[in-house]
Amino acid sequence: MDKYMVQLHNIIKFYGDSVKNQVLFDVTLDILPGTFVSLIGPSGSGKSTLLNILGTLDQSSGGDLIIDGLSMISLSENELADFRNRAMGFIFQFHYLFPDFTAMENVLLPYRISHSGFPDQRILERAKYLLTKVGLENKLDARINNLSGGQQQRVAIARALINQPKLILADEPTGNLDTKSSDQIIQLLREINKEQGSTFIVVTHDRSIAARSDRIIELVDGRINNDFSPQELGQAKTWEGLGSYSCRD
Amino acid sequence: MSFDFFLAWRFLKEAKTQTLLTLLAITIGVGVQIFLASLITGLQFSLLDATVGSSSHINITSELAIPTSILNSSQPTDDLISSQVSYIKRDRDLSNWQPIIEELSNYSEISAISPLVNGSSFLQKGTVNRPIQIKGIDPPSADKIYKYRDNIILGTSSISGNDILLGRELSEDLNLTIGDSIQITTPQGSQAIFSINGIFDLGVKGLNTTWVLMDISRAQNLLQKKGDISVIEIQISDVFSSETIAKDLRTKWPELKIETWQSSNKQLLSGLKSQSSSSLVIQFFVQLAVLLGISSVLAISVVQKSKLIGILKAMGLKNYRVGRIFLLQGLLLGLLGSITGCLVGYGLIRTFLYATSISGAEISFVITTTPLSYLSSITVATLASILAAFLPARRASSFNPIEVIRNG
Repeated sequence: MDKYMVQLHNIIKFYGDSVKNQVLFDVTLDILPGTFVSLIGPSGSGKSTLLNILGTLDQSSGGDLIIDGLSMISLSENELADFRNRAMGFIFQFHYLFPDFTAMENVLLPYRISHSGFPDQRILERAKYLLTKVGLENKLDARINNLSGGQQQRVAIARALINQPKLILADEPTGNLDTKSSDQIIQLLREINKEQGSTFIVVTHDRSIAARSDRIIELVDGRINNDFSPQELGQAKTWEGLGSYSCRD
Repeated sequence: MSFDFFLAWRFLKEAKTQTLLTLLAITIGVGVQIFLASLITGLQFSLLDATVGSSSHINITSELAIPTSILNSSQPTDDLISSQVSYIKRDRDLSNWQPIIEELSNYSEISAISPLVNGSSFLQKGTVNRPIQIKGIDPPSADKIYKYRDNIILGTSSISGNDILLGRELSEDLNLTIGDSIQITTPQGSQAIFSINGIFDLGVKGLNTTWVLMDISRAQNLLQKKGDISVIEIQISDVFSSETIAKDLRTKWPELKIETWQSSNKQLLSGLKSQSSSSLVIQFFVQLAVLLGISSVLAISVVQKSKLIGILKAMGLKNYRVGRIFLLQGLLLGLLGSITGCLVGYGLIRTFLYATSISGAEISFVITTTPLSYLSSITVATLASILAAFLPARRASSFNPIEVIRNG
């Protein structure tokens, strides 16, 4: 097994054809397996761009991205799609669930993309387990439209976990939720991270998420401005410090 | 069930109103197309049947080529003489015709072969003279072409010995009836007395006024043919394949003159062709309108589902499969819509027939539809619907997931 789950070497990113606008400057980063990383920074600092490049949804303009020992640069579009399906889970600010599908059907989607036929008993049990894990054991057959915002986001989390991905990428997963729901979601993500050993990279403005991470990386103007561990810095200093690191309560 | 098919089905099921309206459009389009095509086909079939149903499709005769000029020097020089011989062609009798008939009976496409002795003569009753066409026939094979046995209105169809059959108008004109004797005189001067055994009505005044049917050997004697015949008449199962068969026969017997019904019915053919093409143009535009409808509905569906397509791609669904989901929607719409369209088309035909029957109007043609015509309508409509889904499918497959998610 490779030492690092994610390795970024001198990642740069330009937007625009005639007028080039550089949003990432030589980002170099190694992330150990099982780490819960918070990616923070002011709006426009390049966090979401970096997360999209990590998720292979966007291509870098230069540099190398290695995930689980495999260089993403060398893979074709179809191979990347297979890799995303097998090894990655995505949680977005908006859940993007299929509104007319039930919670179970939504959770099973990533599995069904790569497996033809009806899901077998084993995977149905796993989907039930995950929905139970996120507290929706009574909502298995509920249609998404009939669930609250917090419940919908929890279905999205269960969906991201169905294929047991090694890397989970989340973009503002609590951005649309109230404080109570946010807190439950953070706790849930942290639990899953500990239980399953998945690596989490979470873009967030939420100080309470960042404070509970193993590692906080701050991007400013497309460059890594700070990279530290709240455990080493201490809870109080981290919390206090995060106020100035582009985070809010 | 594959996941792509499952998603295509669910997308259609969720957009119920949109799907039902699209299905309705395809149903109406295919229904009208089937009704129109059946009507035109029935009409043309009946027209064709009336024209060539009871006549020969291919005629085999023999020609005699008589040279008219012996030598023409176009540019006479000392060392170059070009010669050109031209001929006048005249019909002559077929002598060795039995082997030809034997050979023709090996063709499965040929449904009737009838040797015929043909000749102009005069019919005399008392002092009255009428020009007639003698038709010396072999009754069983000639009946397959002329169907005269079913059209005997008086007497019987037997023509053995000196018994003959003549048409309704001729018998009325000369006040002739069964059992009457008449005299026939040929241009060559030979005469004979015949007895009228039956009167036919072939539905065409020209034939009823001139035709006199008699046994082939009797006609050969009267017209002094010495065992020769005038023509071999052929009917084939598919009238439109006559040119192909004729071409084959011309290769086999280059010395014989082989003519098809098309060469003597050019105006009818051009009329039928114009009717077919106008019917096809109407059917084409009905289908086109339906297909544009499918295409625009699916294009809207692509926009409506853009976020979901984006997330599916992020989760690992490949571009070509995203496209396939929309092509499958086209297929499902086309297949279901054309099946219901066939039912509607069938219903329209039945309603049309019923409405004309209760209104007292008599339809002079038969509307026929075969399972194959329904099957071909379903196939064409389904393939066209897949084609209509092509642009929306291409658009969906080219979505960049991150653009969709970011702007969503």
